[in-house]
Amino acid sequence: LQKCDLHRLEEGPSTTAVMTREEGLHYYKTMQTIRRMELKSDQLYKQKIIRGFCHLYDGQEACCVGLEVAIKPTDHVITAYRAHGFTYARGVPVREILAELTGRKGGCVKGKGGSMHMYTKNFYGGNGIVGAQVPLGAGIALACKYFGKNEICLTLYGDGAANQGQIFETYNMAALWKLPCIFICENNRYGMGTSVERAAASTDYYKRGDFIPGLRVDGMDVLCVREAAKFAAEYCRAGKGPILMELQTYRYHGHSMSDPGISYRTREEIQEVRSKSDPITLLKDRMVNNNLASIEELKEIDVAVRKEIEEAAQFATTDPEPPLEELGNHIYFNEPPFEVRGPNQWIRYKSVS
Amino acid sequence: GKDRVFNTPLCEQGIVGFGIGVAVAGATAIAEIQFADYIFPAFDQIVNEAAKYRYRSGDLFNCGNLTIRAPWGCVGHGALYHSQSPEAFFAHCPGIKVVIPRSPLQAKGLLLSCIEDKNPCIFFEPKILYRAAVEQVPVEPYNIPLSQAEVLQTGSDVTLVAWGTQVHVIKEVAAMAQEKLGVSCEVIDLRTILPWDTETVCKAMVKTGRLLISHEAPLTGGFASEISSTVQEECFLNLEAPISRVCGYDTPFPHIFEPFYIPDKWKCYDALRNMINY
Repeated sequence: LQKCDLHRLEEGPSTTAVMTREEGLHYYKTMQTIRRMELKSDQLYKQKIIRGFCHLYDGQEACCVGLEVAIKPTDHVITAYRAHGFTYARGVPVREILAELTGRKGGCVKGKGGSMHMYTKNFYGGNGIVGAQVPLGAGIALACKYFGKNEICLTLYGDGAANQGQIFETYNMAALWKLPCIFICENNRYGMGTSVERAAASTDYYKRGDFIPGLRVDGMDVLCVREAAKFAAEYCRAGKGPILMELQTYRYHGHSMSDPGISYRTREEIQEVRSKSDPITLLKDRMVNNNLASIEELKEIDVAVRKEIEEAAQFATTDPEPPLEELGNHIYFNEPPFEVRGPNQWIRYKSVS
Repeated sequence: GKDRVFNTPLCEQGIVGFGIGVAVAGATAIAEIQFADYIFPAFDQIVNEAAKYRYRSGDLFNCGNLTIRAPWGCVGHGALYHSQSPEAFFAHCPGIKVVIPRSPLQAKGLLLSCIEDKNPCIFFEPKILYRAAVEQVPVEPYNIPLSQAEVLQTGSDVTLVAWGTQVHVIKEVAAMAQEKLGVSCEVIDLRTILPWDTETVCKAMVKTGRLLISHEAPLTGGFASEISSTVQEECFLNLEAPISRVCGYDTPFPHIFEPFYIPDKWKCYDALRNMINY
């Protein structure tokens, strides 16, 4: 495995890793599912079945898969809006993710959130405002410490968000109170259309925590991410306080579906990453070269994944939209339901929650 | 050139803070916030620093050279964080000016006025009109005065007030009212939210006696409440019917429910009809 750059750490994660056949097949299937799901979302968006904003995660699959397998389901994760991969990794079935994207009631959030706001147990979304999720993550970590169940919180943000003021406020609080929080910067080199060199005075995002130790990890290698995450999780659970991880990764699509993704970077660059560092290809080569699986087996997994995605897309397209009464629900917690004020006295939505 | 127009890192509070600093030192600053929904980290800077600078320094310093621009309003698929209309939050803050144009021609004149105005201004641009509006705009600079509402159409029965995208909706409603009910409407584009043109609106009220105000922002605490309150103070005896506010529901801006949420022409027409029949 590639050695990680370290900041304020004596030693880093191990440079070798053990992966069993089952593990390998699981990682492969998960990453391939996420990849195909994102490509399907791209297709559905272009057909205008998905509307609104859609930020795709393909190219970065190794990050969410590597992180998920290094932590426990009882640990907590919060990220920004490029959340489909994490939503799947945290256990939401593809059909619910796609149905949420199309805004149907079978979606994981009943169709009320859309692409950017997907949630599930121990996964706090899905946040639209850049950088706003980081203080929340520290808060979750504080709750973990308070409840004493040895849980940690993974707080993710991007290279663009790394320049937000609230992130530094959070670093300070997390370090001061030794919160079990792993700050993870998914550096995909571009904050929307601005490359990291044009946005940040220091592109060493793993050092930005200053007094918080950090490590820089190859985010295209799922095993590298896994080992680093295990190392970081151990560090946090030992009560040593927060730690920062920078995952160097890449996204193939533009920032969102309205961004072609080529006005600020060349097609050659995208092609190069695809051919040399694609996370799924890297894993496939590793498995085949180490005789953990044959190409035919992996192809079979591909076919099964495609089928699952097709069915999910079918569900997402045919499921009915949420009923209009949902418009008023879940504003407050209130007993009994109250009426939502609006423009006419004859159409009043009751808010039930 | 690159030294005058440049991208910033992603930090709204920092961007507006810079802008205030630049303006105080004497240079003209035009700060752009990508979507009005993201202006909230900068809210403290705007309300506590920019708006109060002149007042608290006894006119020694001011950041009048600052103009903040932000895309505003619903766009059909914006959902919670790309559709908000936060003018009401800023209307509550003495010291700044809030301006919202309804068309390209208005936008150019109003923006140039904001830039030249010696007070910090927030210029909200209806994003749905970026691609939808087509107009002949003069190439040379021109100003449209701030704090002056524009009467788009005179009438004698009902006054309709709106700003930004909603002006186009109420224009349609006025046409519908004329055609179906024979009701003649006075259509007013408020243009500047703060300080707003009370005189034009009240003059219209004295003539018509009925007022309908419409905006996308939620009903409770929306700017329509300020207009309504002032009008009933100034023109109480002229009122023929309660003032009608056709606004968004008191919920966060929905994703899939957007067509039901926005105050479309039918809701406005319905409210107008009820006022006529009061």
